[in-house]
Amino acid sequence: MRVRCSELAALDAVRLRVLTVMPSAGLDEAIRRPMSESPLVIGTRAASGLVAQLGGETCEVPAVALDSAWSAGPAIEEWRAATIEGPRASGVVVAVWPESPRPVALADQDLSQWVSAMEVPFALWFAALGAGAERCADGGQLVAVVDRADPKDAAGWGAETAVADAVTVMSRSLAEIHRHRSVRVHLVTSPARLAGSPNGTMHELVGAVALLLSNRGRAITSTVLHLSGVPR
Amino acid sequence: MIGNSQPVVLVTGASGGVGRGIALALAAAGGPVWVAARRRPEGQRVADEVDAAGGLGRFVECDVGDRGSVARAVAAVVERDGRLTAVVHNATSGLSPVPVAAPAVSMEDLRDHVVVSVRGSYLLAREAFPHLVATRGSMVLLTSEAGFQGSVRLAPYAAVKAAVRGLARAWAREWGGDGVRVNCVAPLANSPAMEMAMAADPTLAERVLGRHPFGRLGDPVDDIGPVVRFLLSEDARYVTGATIMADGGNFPIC
Repeated sequence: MRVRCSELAALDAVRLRVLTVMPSAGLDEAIRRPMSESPLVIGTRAASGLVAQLGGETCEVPAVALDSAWSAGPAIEEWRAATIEGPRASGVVVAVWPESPRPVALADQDLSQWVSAMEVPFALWFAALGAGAERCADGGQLVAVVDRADPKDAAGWGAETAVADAVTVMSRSLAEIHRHRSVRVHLVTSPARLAGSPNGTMHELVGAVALLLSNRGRAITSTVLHLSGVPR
Repeated sequence: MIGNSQPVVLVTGASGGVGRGIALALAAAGGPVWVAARRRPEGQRVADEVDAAGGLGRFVECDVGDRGSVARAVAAVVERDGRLTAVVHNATSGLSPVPVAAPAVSMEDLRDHVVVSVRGSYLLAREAFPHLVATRGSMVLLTSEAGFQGSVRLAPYAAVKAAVRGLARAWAREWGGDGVRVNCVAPLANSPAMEMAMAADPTLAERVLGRHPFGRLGDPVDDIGPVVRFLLSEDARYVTGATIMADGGNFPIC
C-alpha cells in the first residue's frame, strides 16, 4: 500500500479527505473511502461552539431539569426514541456538555446540586450515546466528547469525574454492542472547560475528533484521547 | 482506621453476597461491624454471623439512596459506638444482574442503578465524612470489572460502576489533606447476583471463567473481604484513590 499524505494540512476539519490512498488489492473500501460527509452532532446548547466548527446536521439534546425522583425521565425517553428514528450517518459526534461547570467540595454540595452535576448529565449521556450509536451507519464512527479534569486536578470535580468515567465505559459497552456492524466508538476527554479555557482549545478538540472520525483506524475502537496538552 | 484503635465499620448491602463476605472478614478485626441493609431478617442474620466470627455484629436498616435513611444509619453508629472509622459501600441495584439492551433501558431503571450505586456513594460520603475526618478514617467503594471494560448486556451496571471509580479518584484528591482515604475494590466473586447473571446468560460462565487464571470465582469471605480489610487497615495508610482488582487476575489492567 502506498499512501500519499497530500491533504494532511486539512487535519483540523472533519470534512477533510484524510489521506489519498492509492488503490491496492485487499484494501478495504472502508479505508479507501474519504470522510466526505459532515458528522451528525448530538449535543447540548453548551456545545454549540463545537457543533459550529464540525458543521453538519445537529440534534440538540434537551435541557432537562431532573429532580431527585427523575420526574422528567419520560421526556428523555421520548427524545431518545425520536432521535433514534432519524437517518443514519457515517460519522456521529456526541457532546452532552453541562452549562458552566464549577468545582465544589463534597461537603458543600447538597443533593439538588449533586443531581444537577452528576445525575442529569449521566442520564442525558446514556440516552444520547445510545441514540447516537443507533444513528451510526454500518462501518461508521461515533466520537463522544466529554469534560474530564486532569487526574491531579480532580479535587472538587467528583461529579464530573464520575460522569467522565461513566461515559468512558458507556462508550466501551456501545463499541461491543455495535461491533457486529463494524461501528467504532471513541472518546475524547478534555479538561479545557473545567480549567476555565472553554474556547481556547476548540481547535484541538476538533482536530482530535477529526482524527477519530477518519477511516484510518478501522481496527481501533474504544480509544480514549485525553487532551492533556491543552494550554492553561 | 483498623490498627490504631478498635475499628467501627459500616458495610452497605451486607445482608448477603460480597457484602456479607466483607462483613465477616472484618469481624476478624474485633470491632463493631455494622451490617447496613434494607432487609432486617437477612441483615440481622449476618450480624449474628459476625458475632460468631469474633466481631461485634450490629444491624442497621439503611436504604442507601434515601438521604434520611443514610443519615439515620450513620447517626445510629456514632451514637452507639462513639465514632465511625470506615464505610464500605457495596450495595448495588437489584437490577444489576438483569440483562438489558442499552437503547431499551428505561430512565426509571437507569435511575435505580444510579441512585443505589452513585447517589448512595455521595450520600454516605456526605454523612460519614465529618466522622471519618475525626478518626482519619477510610472509605471503600465496590466497583467491578465491568466498570473498566463495559458490558454488552449490563451497560447501566457497567456505567455506574465506572462512575464510582471516578468518585474515588476525585475524593482521594479532595480528602487527602484531612487524612481520609478512599479506594475501590473490583471483585469477581461468587454471589447471588453473579448466580443470577449466569442464569440469565448461559454464555457468561464460559466467558468469565474460560480464560481465568485460576478458573474459579472468588470467595466473598476468604478472597474479597480480606482485600477490603487491608484497605481499611494501617497497612494501607499510603494507599488512596486506587482500585484494587480482587478478581484472580481475570481482567489485566496496566
